[in-house]
Amino acid sequence: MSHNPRYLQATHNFSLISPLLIHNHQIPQVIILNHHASNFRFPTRCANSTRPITCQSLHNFSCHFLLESFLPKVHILLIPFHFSPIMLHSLLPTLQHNPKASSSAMTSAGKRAVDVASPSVAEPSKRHRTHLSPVEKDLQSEEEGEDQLQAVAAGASAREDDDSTGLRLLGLLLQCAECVAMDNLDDAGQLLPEIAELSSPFGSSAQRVGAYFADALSARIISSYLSIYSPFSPLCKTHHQKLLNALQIFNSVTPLIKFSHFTANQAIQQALDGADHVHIIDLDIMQGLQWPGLFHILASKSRKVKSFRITGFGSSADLLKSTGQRLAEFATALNIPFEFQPIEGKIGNIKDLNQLNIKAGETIVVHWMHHCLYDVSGSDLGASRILTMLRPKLITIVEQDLSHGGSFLGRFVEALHYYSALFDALGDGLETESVERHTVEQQLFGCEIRNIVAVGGPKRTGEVKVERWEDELVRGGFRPVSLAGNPAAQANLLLGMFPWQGYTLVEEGGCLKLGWKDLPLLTASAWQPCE
Amino acid sequence: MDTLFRLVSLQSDQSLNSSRTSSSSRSSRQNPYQQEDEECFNIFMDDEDFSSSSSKHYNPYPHHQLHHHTASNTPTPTTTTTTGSATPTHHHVYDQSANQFSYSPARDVTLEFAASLSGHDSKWASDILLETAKAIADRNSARVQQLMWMLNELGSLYGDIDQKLASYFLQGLFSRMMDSGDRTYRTLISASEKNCSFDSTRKMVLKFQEVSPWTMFGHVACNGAIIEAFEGANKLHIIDISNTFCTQWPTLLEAIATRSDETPYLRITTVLVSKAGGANGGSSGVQKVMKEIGSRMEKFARLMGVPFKFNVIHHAGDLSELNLAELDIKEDETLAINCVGALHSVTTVGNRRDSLISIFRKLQPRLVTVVEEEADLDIGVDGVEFVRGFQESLRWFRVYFEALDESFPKTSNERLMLERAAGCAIVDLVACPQVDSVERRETAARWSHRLQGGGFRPVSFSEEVSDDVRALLRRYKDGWSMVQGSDSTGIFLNWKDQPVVWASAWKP
Repeated sequence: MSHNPRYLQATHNFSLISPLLIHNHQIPQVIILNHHASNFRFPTRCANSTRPITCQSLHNFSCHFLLESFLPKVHILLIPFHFSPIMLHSLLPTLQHNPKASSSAMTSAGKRAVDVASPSVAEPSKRHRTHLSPVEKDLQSEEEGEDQLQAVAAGASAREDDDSTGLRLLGLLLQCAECVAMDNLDDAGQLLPEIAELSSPFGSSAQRVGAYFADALSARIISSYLSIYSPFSPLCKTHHQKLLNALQIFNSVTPLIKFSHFTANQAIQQALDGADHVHIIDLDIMQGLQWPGLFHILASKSRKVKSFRITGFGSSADLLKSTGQRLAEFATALNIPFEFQPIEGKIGNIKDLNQLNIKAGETIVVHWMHHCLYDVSGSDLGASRILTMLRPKLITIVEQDLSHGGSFLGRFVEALHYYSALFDALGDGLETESVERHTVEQQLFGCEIRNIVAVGGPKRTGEVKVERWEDELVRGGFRPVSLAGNPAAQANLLLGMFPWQGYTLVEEGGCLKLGWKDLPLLTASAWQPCE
Repeated sequence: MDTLFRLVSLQSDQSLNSSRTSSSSRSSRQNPYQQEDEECFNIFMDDEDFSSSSSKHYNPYPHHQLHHHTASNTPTPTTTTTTGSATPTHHHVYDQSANQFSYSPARDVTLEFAASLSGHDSKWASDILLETAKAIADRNSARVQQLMWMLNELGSLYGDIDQKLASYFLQGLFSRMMDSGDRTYRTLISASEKNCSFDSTRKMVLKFQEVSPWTMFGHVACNGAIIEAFEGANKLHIIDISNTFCTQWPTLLEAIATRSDETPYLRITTVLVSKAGGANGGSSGVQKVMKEIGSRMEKFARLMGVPFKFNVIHHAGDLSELNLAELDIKEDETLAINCVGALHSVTTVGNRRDSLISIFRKLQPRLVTVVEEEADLDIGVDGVEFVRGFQESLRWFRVYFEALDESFPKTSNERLMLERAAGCAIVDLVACPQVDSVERRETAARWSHRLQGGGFRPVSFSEEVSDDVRALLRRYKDGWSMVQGSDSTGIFLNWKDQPVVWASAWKP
């Protein structure tokens, strides 16, 4: 399987569109999206390619079948193999008529679904949310069991306008990204106004995603012309305050942040069993929202810890100070002997282990929540070196299921996919006009998308990035600790406690993956040194 | 019922787009390092980001040496750590290159604006933008580059007012630097016209009227003056040069229908002006919208029992070059000319604005009503003149954005449409040649001077009309007020003590 994601859009004759990809035999799969294209011709060069072309429709029709029966009616988008229909979920409202179709297409071998404590099914229609009109709901039920392709087509004709907007938007975004990848900034810039015009930060999920990707592309184009790629972070309190405010909203409207806190805390408390002196190193502590939960767990145990230290990394001394004070208050209330050690900086830039002020007899746990809001670790290799030298009892990591390196185009397509699901998830239960929704999207997602699309990827530095931290940790002498037991149960409980539907929890190789309609969004893992 | 208008056919658009881009991406400038087709593949690979972008450089003034950052020329390591051969020595090497790259280009500019950025009530966008304009005037390209980088990093079209201003003005300044103002403007206009529908336009205009008196202020004042001027006449013709989609006329039709004497015959000729050469096929969207509006107007007039004829003239080019024969003015008609935001669309180059006024004079109207936004946006081409005009534009658009921000809900598509239109105007002002500009507003004092010079005298609005306007303003949030102009030349709509719109009436 290729790790170079490729897409191809085909309306009429796709041999016109990407001779480059065909030349390199980077033939992606085919997914049927719509029924608008006519006069579709399969390019002969593509057909003669040494690599077989796999055509995947929502129904796994064979290529022949496609060509013979549906081609006059289908719109075809060629996208990479891992490009699941989830993305189409939000970009193309039609496909929402067929949750079954997408989930069956999604079921892949090797993943064991954790039995999510099924939340009450009182409102099955909630899943489809407000943007389905009653008529469309009827359509949906009538079509149950019918040929799903037909259902898609029928749905499409009912909402052609929405579809065409989503489809045009997707096509234009990919075109624009291709221009950027080809270093053709001029043409890319010319495509942006139309993308912006079709999208809106207050529209459908697809339009929202489009708005922020267009914004990110525009910023990338300008920075490419300026030849300055580094991020600018105003070191001011108002900026941080805004970010933290958005994170708090995010925490209250989706289970994603809670998921990372819950699972990590469970793994940590298991590792701390029997420890007297605890030292937690949080590589990006922010407001320290995670730790009161752990305080509670420890306070409820019969065997009390003798000392509890948290070392918090952060970029603002002010913020670290107030975080420390808040945590100290919590700890005092629970009679935990607590000490906070702020470090203004990044783990990867630490030259000397002494800076961490490790004391003999301490049980050390490192917690690392990945995100693309800014660079957390500094030098990845420095971070890896410090972790190896530190050999903590446990490392808990929560990662986005999103690659942070690789080629621009690959990163772009993957991020488009990822954020389509994330925007969709956030929109679940929130109105289009919701100010909270806008705040989270603008302050958090928009910022992350910008960093991912920027030259150099999320960290926006030219240095080498660690692509897969699991490999790096294994190389550093760590082995994974399974989260299948208690942490998984906790995560299940969490999802059951709240009204969210559509989130899926999967355990894979000891890691826990929280996804939206089967697309993994966050992966939690824990590591301990090999004996 | 309102869905008569549909977007341009999806299919034709899509085929157009995909074929356009496919050919352009193939014919695009290739990365100098990768000439062979086979190697093109490499640009999709790991480090394409830096290698390709380093070949880009931006040079605002070709004859000036651009300060190059080491960052852009730093070769990036081509292997990743996942190869399994990472050793401490490697780490050392990587760290070095990392340090070189993350060289922060603008420590000094960062510090320069630290206070501005952290201030609670700060207007950082205006501060940085003004400095950028000054640096442009000084031809200090290194500083321009750094300031633009800051604006690009901080700005967002969907953020707060400062972020929006930073983003929209950066677009203008950037187009100016790239000498692509004209093209950017056209692309923006054609994108917006392509997606312009009767529905979205109607929603936007009505919502704007609902939350802000910005447009209604002029409508009420002008309608009052026109009705008074038309008293006794029975063949009426209004030349309506405006961009307000006829939202002014229903109330006028109502007033005329309820006139005590015989209901007169009314003609309205709406003139829509677009930049010459721009908006080729794109304006079809606007034409469709106007067609729909026309049929609604006719329907409304029938309902009101007013004998009515409606006509639209789409004029591409400068308003001063309007073909008067097209207006089809009849001898026996009583004529009124209603200009809403029309005068500032005339170029400032030459004497076009004055000559348009003398054309109006020759038409012998009973009344001319003029509504203009109160600003002095005659941006000079270069140097101090440019900075002065730029500063005034910043002031003006901040007031406009603030007024929108306080009037509309936070998440409003209608507001977004208005902001985008303002963004187009900013590109026009900052980056387009003066001769093509359609956005250069002038102050009431200057317009009055021009009108008086053209043989018009001001007519004060009657007490009745003023009362109507005050009643209108009471319908909106606090902050709006009406102020009389000096020497009885019109009235101002004030927003938080800043005059924003000026309405006036004139007779030959």
